[in-house]
Amino acid sequence: MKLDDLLESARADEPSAEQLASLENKLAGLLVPPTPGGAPAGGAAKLAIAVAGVTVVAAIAIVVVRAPSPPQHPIADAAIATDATPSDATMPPPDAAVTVTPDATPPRERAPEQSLAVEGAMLERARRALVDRDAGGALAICERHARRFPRGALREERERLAIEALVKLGRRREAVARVAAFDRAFPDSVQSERVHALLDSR
Amino acid sequence: MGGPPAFETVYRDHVRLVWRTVRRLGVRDDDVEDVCQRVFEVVHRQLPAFRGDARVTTWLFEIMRRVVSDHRRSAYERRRDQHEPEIDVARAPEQEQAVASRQARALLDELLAELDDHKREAFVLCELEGLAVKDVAELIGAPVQTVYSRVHAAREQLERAASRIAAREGAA
Repeated sequence: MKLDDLLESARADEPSAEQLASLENKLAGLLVPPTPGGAPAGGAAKLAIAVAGVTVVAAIAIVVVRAPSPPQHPIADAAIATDATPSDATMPPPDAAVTVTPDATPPRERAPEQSLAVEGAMLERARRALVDRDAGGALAICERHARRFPRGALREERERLAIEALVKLGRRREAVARVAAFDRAFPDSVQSERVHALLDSR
Repeated sequence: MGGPPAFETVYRDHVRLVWRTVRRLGVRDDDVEDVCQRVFEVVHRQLPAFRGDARVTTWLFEIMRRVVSDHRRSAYERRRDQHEPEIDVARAPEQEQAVASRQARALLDELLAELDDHKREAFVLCELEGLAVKDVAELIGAPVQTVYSRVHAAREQLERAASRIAAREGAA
């Protein structure tokens, strides 16, 4: 076979419809639904509970993005979409000590399975942002998590990620304050040693 | 001048390009979807900061290069640690045409795999995806002449490899 023929066939080498659908499903939380009449909320929620992981949150987010109040950005990400104050997505992070408040009331109640799935996906995105050397992005996601889930099941993990992000951003003073807040809020945490070790890293 | 394009628009207009390029840059079939997902997550995160004076495709290629490079490094380490073989496992039966197309694709993959990363990248972006040489030069931070040389050298090497494979298959 000639090289040019091979290259020509390669240019038409597209993903299959199934592959595209699967990718789109994984990104559903970031994409605005194409038509107003999509899957009902119950269906999305059931799917969310049935399949663990990021995909789940994507399904929930489709429903969430349809919320009546228009967010500031047309393509709100899953985390921003249900924030009580959408416009504060770009605000600087609140005081470190304030973010760890075990007794605060969550802004809105939802099924625990859904919350956990959303929490997990948000923190997964924060973790990936750190891997992608985007500590600022990771910290912003952690702060949104803190506003939405002040009593979230994964708040220890969130704090660990936020501290790591602060260290990577060179905001050491805030990182130290946040570790102290972590110790006060979670004195028996299994993450304690790991969190303190972050202050020695770079 | 408007702000950055909507994420949905970037996704719909470029998902096929991203998919193809990710594959051509050496990501295994099984991993392409995950890598594309990561590319678009980064796109979504960085879109508000996207400068309107840059071309979307150039910006996308920049993101793809980084994500693919990270992926290949971590995939290599993972497979090395798990002693996972590089070859794909058996596939489901397919239509004849699909098999032929897959064979052509596998052949091209085999050829591209012979190139070093620099040549492969220049060749894929210029020859397969049709980017202008000057855009590729800007993207990878190399002089235009270097990109020309890499594309030229890649093409020569691929021609030789294609002849060799044709001869081998003819003899079999």
